[in-house]
Amino acid sequence: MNAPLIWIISPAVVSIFLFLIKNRQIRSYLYLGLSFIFAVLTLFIKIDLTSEKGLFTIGISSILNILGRSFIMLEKDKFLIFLVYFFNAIWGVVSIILKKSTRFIPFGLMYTAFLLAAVSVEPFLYSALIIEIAVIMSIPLLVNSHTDRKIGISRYLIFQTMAMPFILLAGWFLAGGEISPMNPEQLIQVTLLLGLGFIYWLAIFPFHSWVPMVFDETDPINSGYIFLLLQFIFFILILKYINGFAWLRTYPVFFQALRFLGIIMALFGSIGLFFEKSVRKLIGYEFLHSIGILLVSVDLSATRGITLFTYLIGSRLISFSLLSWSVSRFESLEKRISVYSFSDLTQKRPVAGAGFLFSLLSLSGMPFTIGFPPLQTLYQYLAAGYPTVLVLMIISNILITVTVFKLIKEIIRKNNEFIYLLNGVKEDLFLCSILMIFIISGFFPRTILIRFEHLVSGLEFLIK
Amino acid sequence: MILNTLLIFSALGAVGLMFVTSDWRMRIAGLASLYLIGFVVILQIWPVALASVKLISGWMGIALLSTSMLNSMNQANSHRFTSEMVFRFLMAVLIWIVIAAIAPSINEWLPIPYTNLYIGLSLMGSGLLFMSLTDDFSEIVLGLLTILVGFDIIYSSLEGSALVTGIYAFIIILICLLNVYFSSAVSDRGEE
Repeated sequence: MNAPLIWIISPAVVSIFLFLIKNRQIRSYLYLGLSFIFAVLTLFIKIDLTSEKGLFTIGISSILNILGRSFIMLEKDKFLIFLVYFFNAIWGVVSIILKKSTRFIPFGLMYTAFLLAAVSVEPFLYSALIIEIAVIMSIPLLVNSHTDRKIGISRYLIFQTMAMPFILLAGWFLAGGEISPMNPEQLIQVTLLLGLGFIYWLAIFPFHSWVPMVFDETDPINSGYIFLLLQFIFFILILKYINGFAWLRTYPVFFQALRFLGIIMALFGSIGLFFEKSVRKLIGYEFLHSIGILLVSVDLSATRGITLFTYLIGSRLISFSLLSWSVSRFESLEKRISVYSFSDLTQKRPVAGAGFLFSLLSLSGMPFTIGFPPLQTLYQYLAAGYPTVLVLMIISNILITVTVFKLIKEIIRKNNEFIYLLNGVKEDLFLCSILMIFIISGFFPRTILIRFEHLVSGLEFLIK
Repeated sequence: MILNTLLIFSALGAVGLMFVTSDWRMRIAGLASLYLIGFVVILQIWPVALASVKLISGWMGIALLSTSMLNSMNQANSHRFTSEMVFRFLMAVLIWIVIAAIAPSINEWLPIPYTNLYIGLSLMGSGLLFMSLTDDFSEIVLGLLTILVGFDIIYSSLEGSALVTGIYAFIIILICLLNVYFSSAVSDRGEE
């Protein structure tokens, strides 16, 4: 028995069996239960156990060999596995309670398995191929075959496919570099190839146009699930690359590029969000803004360590999830809502409205939200070395905050009477309890965010 | 030398056919020829067993594409003006000339036979152009497959890995299945 068999092969096989179950409700409950079991298994299973086993501890090997390549999941990767399956379970719960016929049940498990396979494959440059499979697989999970709006989806497929050749070619160069040292010209070539691959993967300017389009074409609960996981895994892979190659870690141009592209994306996202009228597209722009902030934090990892990145990605996973769920709840009233109808819809779905506003405030780093401490630290680091970047970063977050205040102003203007948050509807009660946890977590953010530090425990060269 | 020249011209001819014609059958035939040319090119470097994986997976994908196109409304081919055909062909020729100009300098980076590099880059460039001229999903799939054949020729000249070959073949078939997924809905609507 080995770890990849449990957390990669089994979920993929199980998802096929779940697909054969006709009853949608049973299928959803099984999906939720199995995701939870795969997450909980990380607590009881020890990988490559050398010392004595505990009463409830099972020891397994870390390696699975297929056709001369290895899939390796180490003990220090367990938090990542836990987080990914826990994410699956939570989104499963939300889709059941919000009564959404989500497309990621049951093949979300297979999608997750491919993403984890991409992280665990050695040599890890083969991850580009596995990511491509996950991307192709994700398309039927995003839209149904009858959709007329496919431009965003087509672009998503094209740009993600374009990334694969660049990463594979970079991998070939790097394999040569392991045998004999690379000269400066080769370094530039590899950085260019890797950089282009990353740019396509992360939808960085000028290849970002598909993001708002895809978010507009798909249900927020599907797009949120697929793209949050994908973005999360892409960043983990990029960090693995940086950790794996000493020359990349010490190559200043690479980090300058990350900073430059990061701030462009943060500004692009926030300007788009400020002027956008469609709520679905607005989430897409927030996604771009998040990519920018995370890129800047990866840049800072060279000098300040990777801890800040883990806090940022943790806070963003939580806030963005709430944002997607809130919009999804709104869409039980009306598909593709506009910001003009936001205040009217808030009267009917006050909890969703509150969730939407709070999550956006958290993503813009408002005090007393879970997004505040990591962004505050980011500002602090930027102030020490890059004041221009700091100013631009603050401007981007101000734009988001102003957008939220504009929406609040509209709500107050149109609703003179007090809006009761709870109306006794089960879905709203559930969303309200999540919102309460979210708000409370804003007062004790460290208790939650500190756990995300385990995400990078395997990246020994990036921890400072 | 003659074989290499013949391979280059056949590849350009096949991709040119894909550009010019509006009949989906001819396009599919062009793509099938590209897979055959790719197979012959890779055969010069790899053993037959491994090279034939590329050909078989490619043609399996083409069979899937043909089935889906046969059932979908795409079989009603849109008429194409002569000026449009000339424009598309000239665009393709422009790409081939640009690649002929830059291929020697790329050859310094990638130490592979020039024929493989030129065919690979031409197909990648042509595929990119082919995709950029349309918003139809099945045509985008054809363009993507052209890019992937081109890259396959280049990458196979650099590295021969069984796992990469397997996963690559799987990706080709998945992309074709994606086209089936979307065109099945089109045919459903057509029947309604």
